Parts: sequence; structure tokens; C-alpha cells
Amino acid sequence: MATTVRAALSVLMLIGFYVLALAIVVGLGVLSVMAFQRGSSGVAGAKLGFFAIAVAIALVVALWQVARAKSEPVKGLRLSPQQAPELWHMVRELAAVAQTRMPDEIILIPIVNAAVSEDTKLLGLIGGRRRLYIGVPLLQAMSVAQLRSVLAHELGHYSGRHTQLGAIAYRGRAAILATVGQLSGNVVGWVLKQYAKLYLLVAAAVNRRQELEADELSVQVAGRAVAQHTLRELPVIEAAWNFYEGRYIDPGWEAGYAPTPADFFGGFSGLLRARTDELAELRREPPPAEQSKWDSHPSIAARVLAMDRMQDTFVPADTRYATDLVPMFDRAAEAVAAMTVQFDGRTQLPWEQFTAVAVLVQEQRNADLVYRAAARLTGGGEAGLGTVFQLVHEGRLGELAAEFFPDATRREAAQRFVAPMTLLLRVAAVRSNVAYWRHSWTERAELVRNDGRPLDLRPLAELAVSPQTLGEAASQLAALGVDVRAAVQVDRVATAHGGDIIGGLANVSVNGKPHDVLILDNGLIMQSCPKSTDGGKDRLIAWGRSAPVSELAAKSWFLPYEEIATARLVKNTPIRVDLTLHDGRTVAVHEAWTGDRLARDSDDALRAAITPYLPENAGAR
Amino acid sequence: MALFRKRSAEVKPSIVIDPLFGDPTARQLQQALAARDWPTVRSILAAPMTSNDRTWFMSVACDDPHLQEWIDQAVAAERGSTLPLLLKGGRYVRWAWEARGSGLAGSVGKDVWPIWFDRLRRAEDCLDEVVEREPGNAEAWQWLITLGRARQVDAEDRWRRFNGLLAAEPAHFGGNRQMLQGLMRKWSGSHEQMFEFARKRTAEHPGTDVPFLIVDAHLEVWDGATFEYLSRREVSDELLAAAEASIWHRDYQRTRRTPTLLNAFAFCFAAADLHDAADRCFAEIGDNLVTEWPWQYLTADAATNYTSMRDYVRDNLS
Repeated sequence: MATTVRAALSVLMLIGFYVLALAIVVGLGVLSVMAFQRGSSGVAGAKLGFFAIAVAIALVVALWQVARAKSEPVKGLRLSPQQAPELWHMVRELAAVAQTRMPDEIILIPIVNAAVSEDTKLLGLIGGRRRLYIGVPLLQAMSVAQLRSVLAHELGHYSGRHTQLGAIAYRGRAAILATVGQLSGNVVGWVLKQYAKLYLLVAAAVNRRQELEADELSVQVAGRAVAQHTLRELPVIEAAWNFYEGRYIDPGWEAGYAPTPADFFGGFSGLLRARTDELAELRREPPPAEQSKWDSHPSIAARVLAMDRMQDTFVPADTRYATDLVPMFDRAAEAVAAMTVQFDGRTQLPWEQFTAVAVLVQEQRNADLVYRAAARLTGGGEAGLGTVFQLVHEGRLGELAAEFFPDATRREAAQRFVAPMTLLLRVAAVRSNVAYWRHSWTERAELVRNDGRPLDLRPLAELAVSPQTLGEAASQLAALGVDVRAAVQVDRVATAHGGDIIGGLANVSVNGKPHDVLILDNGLIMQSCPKSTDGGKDRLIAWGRSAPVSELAAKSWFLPYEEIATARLVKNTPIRVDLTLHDGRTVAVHEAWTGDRLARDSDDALRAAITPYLPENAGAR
Repeated sequence: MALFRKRSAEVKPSIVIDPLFGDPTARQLQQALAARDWPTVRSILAAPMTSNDRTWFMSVACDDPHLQEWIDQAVAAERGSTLPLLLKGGRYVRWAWEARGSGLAGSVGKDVWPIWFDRLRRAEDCLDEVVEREPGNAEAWQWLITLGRARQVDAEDRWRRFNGLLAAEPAHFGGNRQMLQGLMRKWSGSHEQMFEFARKRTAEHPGTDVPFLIVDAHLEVWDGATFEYLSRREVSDELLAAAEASIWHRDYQRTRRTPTLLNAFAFCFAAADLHDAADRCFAEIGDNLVTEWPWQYLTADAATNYTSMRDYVRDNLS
């Protein structure tokens, strides 16, 4: 009963939202007419008039766009009843149980999610075309029984069994968010945003209640145990997918390669089958329990708990893979990848080759870091493994190594250089075609000889860091077929690949000109910006999100920290640093008093980044 | 010792402790350092002398508060010499300690640790270079041993440093003393390790300063508690034997480090009511070779503590 009252209130408030918007438009209209009538009395009146008209137009346009908007269907593969009869049959059955309209379309999408969407008519008061979205990774990770549970929940949002008003409140939320989104950044937008916040507070309570009601349907069609297990499985699948993307796809992706469309989702299946132990480990973690008052969903922990109190039904669990509901699923998944993944001209490779080249590119990037340092040390433009061996031979390895182990003495750094040396030797072995990186779904890629035997180059690296045993290392390398000359620098200039944004400063004076600066953990990306300090933070956020950091760096001025010879901290607040580069150039980065920051501690990020380059006596003063 | 406690309040100090013992060369060294006069500094430190004297002069030089500001010029100007590097290394160790203070690790501010480790690392780079070019430079090994415990390197590396000292000069007093420090409980060693080392080294080097390690070890156990510990028969016997093996040994050679030994022996013997032995030391120390340590254990006023204990001993001579 309380839900119905709340739902009625939220519908009233939804109507109120549009009434308020209309009132503002009318009010502004009156205001502008009055302003123009007194136009002769001064410029101020005219200004107000123009402002009122501009705002009114913006508001009408926003409302018009929302009213007309047919939500752009999410890109994906539409499955016809002929293509997936069993899936359609199941959805039909669930819709009947939920006493709601059958979705008009079933669409496979590339993300870890399932949802029912509906085009809203009359500003959210009436429903339109209904679509059921199912994420490919979800199908791959779930059983048929689990999928039933998920889909029952989604359809439950539109269930007529509880309250018609609830469905309206659910739609209204989407419509209001869209309107406010259209209006961001002006005064009227701010007024409506406050109203929207109030509305969302009321609606959120309704929505959370609705989630629990939708969960009742899950329990009814799948049984309590399956329903609870499925809920707890969602964060596990999410984590597995994130791991898959981060560990397996991103490294090669960043380097300009991609798995083939067939492999794109195919790999996730491989991972799920291979890493069962890790998945079991993830399942042992307690479900997320956080909850904010704005959330439309109660926490998973709360939902699992609530299910304990729901009426259980016995439903035999269908333990088949959910993918069995889609005949020729692999082809469908391949089509989804081909339609939705932006390959952007990347070279598409099967997993074995994709991994081999991805690891090599990553390793070469790290090797280049060492080679560039060696080149600086020896005064040459380029360096390779031969240069590093020469430094070892001359007893100067410590000078090179100290750059990579700032806390160690040169002597200690030379000893610790075994790890970077192993890396250099691995790249040399691959470049000499005597070894390659073997893909694995269970562990990191492994370096193996061409005959498949593992190749551990650490013992050789241990020999190679000492002048006394360097000769021995060199002859063993030659015996393996590794050509030292094959191991050379590829990138003369550092790129931002693999960098993470750790801060940002807007409207910074860089050599006297206004710039926005993104602070990465491997360098600074700088681009000129307007003089006005308005909206600096938004600009930084938008810039940071617009592309991967390597692309941002390539398009703007990227200053890798490794190019810094010395730094001087001129001032702490606002932070002002003067950098002198190895090539003699100077870069003065001076924050303004009024400049925005990406995060409050962005100045700390910059300070920490330049600390290794401060002159040795700086700490004393 | 009850008498001593009563009298101490009445005694007026008539002694001013001079860390340089009125040594004119040391005074000249200090002045040259203050004037940043490298040629004079070099000529004093490079002159032939015993290793104890060298340690002492080096210590005076490394206490100069501004040395780090200009020593790099000397390093750059004299690429072929290890002396400026040695001095820079020593100064950075002292400078690190000046930032840290001498308290226990828990008393050190969090923001101090990076400075501490940074200065120590730079010091070690200098000293590594010295011993690489000149493996027989015992003074450098001594600083490296100090660095071993300050930088918390593993036991294997600490012994590597000591073995470097052994190869250079096995009876180098400062080096042996620094190694003993590293074996103390406060530097993650133990009383057992400390005494084992002190006794073994003492047995191997009679007639040198090395047997004094026994005094260092007992003072570490005592650590400012009541004199009862130092009066124990087994302790005072071992202290007497250490004096016989060092300052009273016929081969013993007096250096600028000897006052350190005399003062500590005098202190221990007075505390143990060995009045004759103590008086022998007091006679040699006189008013001019008094050191702060170990008299400052009792109260901050080391000079008064010295005269009070000397008076007490003299009043009680047989």
C-alpha cells in the first residue's frame, strides 16, 4: 500500500516537473515582453529580454527533444523468433507470469548486462516499443536457470501485478534525467535540477521497492536458491569480464591490434572455462552492500537477504548453458562483435598471435625505456642491447640502473638490474626468432622456444649484469641463436602508452601560455586552453575521457618524465615547477590561483612526480 | 657511591670540555673548513698519520655543518683523488643523522625518513666508489659499515662490508666499533651477538684499541641503570682485562682516540669502586683530555660529573 501511495506521489511530481518547466517558460515570456516594452529605458532591460528568450527557447527545445525522443536502440544483434525459438519461448512464458506485454524485440548486446527498455510517450506517462537486451558475456557465464531469473526480474519492472503507477514512475525517472541532461549549465537548468533531485529522492524509494518486487518474480520462476545465486553471480561475471578486458584485450588493443570478431567473445568463454578456481574464489567474497540514497537499486546484499523472506517455489533448475538457447551462438556472438566493437582499423588476429604480438609490443616499450636511458648516458641518439652490454663491460651499469631504482645505490641498482636485463634478453630472443610468447587462459603468457619448451633467461641475465661474467652470458646467448644486434630501440621518443591519469590542472601557465595539463604516472600531457578559467574542471574531465591516454598524448604535447634532467619546485601553493630537460630545453609549469583542478590533490600528484628530479640538497631546506 | 650523589650538588665545575683537546691542527682544520679552503683541508687530512688519528680528523671535518654545500667542487676538481669522495660520503652520513636525531626510530618524524634514506644512499654511492678504486681504504669501509645498519641492509651485506675492513685493516678501531654497534640489540642484533663479536675481536688484537669493544658492550647492557651492574665481579674483571689488553698493554700506541678509551675506563672503574684503576686513568686524563661521553650518561653536565667522580675516587684511595 505504501508503495502505491509513494508511486502516486512520484507520478504527481513527474507531472509537476513539466508544470514547473512550463511555468518557467511562460514566466520568462512575460518577463521578456515587459523588458522590451520598457526597452527605451536602458540596455539592461534589453539584455534581460534576450536572456529570457534564450532560456525559454533552450527549455522548449529540451522538452521537445525529450518528448519526441525515441530512445536510440542500443547497438546489437536482433534475434528473431526463428533464430532463437527457445529463448523467445522462455521470454514469452516469463512475460505471461509477470502479466506484462511481451517485448517486441530481443537484442544481443556486447556488455555485461540485461535490460528491458521502452520508448516513452507523453513525457514518460505512456509506454511504447519494448526491447529486451541481453549481454553476450552474461549468456556465456550463466546457466539457463540463472538467465530465467535475470530476465524475470527485468520483465518484473513492467509487471502490472503490483501497480500501474510504478511502471510510470520508472519511465518518468528516465524522462526527467534526459531533460535535465539537455539543460545542464544554465540557471533554469539548475532550478529544474533541484526539482529533479527531489523527485528522484521520492522515486528512488519507489524504485528500490520495485526492485524487490521484481525480485519476487525471479524467486517465483527460478526458485529462491537459483535467484539468490544468480544475484550474487552478477558482480562475479562483471569482475571476470573486466579482468578479461584489462588483462587480455587492452594491451594488444592499445598497440593497434584486436582479436578477430569470432575471438572477441570466444576468448571470454575460454577464460571462464579455464579459470574456474579463481571464479570460485571471487564467489566467496561477500556481495556488495553499499547503498546511496540516490541509488535506484538496493544493494545486492540487501536483495539477497530480502529473498529469504519471499515465498519459495520448487523449480527444477535447468543447468544447461544459457548459450544453448541460441542455436549457433558462436556465430551470433561473432556478429555482435562485428556490429558493435569499434575495431578502428586494428589488425585482427586470432588469440595465439594476438597475445604474442601484444606482449612483445609491451615488452619492447619497456625495453625502449632502458635503451633511451642508455642512449642519454652514452651520448648516442640510439641504443640497444649492445650499448647496455658495453656499459656493463665498463663497470658503468650502476649509472644506468640507478635511474630505474631511485632508492638504491648504484652498486645495489646494478645488482637489481637483473630483472630489466631479463626483459631486454627476452625481447632480443623474440626479435631473433628463437622464442615467442605463448598464450594461456590460465596464467600470464609464457616465453617458450620454437619447440615449445619454456625459455627462462633470468640465469643469463644474472651473468650479464656483472663485468666478470658478461662474456659468458654473451657466448651462451650466441649459442641460443640470440642476436644481440637484433635487440634495438624502436621508439626514440617515449609515448604515453600504459599511463594512468593521476591528476589534472586547468589554466596552467606553461612557458607563459595558458594550458590544460593532465598528470599521468609517466608524463604530462599539455594542450593550450582559453584564457578564461571558467569550466576548467569540466574541460579536463571531458578531455581525459575523450580518448585513451596514448591518443591524447599523440595529439597534444606529451612530456615524459624520463626527459626531465632536473626540476625545481618554485612554489608549493599554487604549485609552480621549473623543469630542465635532458636536451637543455626548459619548461615552466605554473599553476594559477584561480585555476581548476581535476582532483583536490592534483598538485600533490605533480609534486610527487617531479620529486625524483629535485636537486640533491632540496630536501634539507 | 652514596657519597658521590651527595657531593655532586656542591661541586663547582672547574673544567671546560674541549672536543678538540686543544689540538692546534684540529683547530686549523675547523677554520679551513669554515673558510671553504680545500687545499688546507686536503693537506691536513692527507698527511701521514695513524688510522685512529685519521678517523678523528675525519670526524671533525664531517661535523662541519656546511661541507655538503661545497664539497662537490672538490670532488669535481680532483677526479683522481678519493679523499673528497670519502669526505663527502662521511659528511652525508653525519648530515643524515642531523636530520634524524639520535633518538630511537619511533621518535623520528615521518617526513624525515625520506631525507634520512636519501642522504645515506648518496653517501654510500661516494664510499662505494672509494673502495672500488681503493679497496684498502679502511676509513671508507668504516663508513660503509655504519651505513649498513643505518640503511638496514641484510646481514650478508653487513658482513661483506666488515670483510672489506678486515682485508684493508683488521684492527681498525672505528670500523670494529661500528660493526659492534650493528650487532647491538637496538640495531636488531642481540647481547649474545654483541659479546661474541667483542670477545673474539679482543682476543685477536691485543695491544690495540680493539679490546675496548668489551667496554662498549658492557656500557650497552648497563645503559644508564644503577652502578650495580658495572660493580659485578665478572663484569669488572672483564673490564680490567680489557684495559690490560689495550691502554695498559706494552704495545699500545697512544693516538687522538685514546682519550675516549681513558674516559670510559675511568667511568667504569669509578662506578665499580675500583679506585686505584680509576685513578690511573684520571691521572692521564687530567683536566684537558676530558670527553663528554660517557659522563653525560649521569646528567647533562658532563664536566661536573667528571670532577665529582674523580673527587670521589681520590677521597677513597687506599
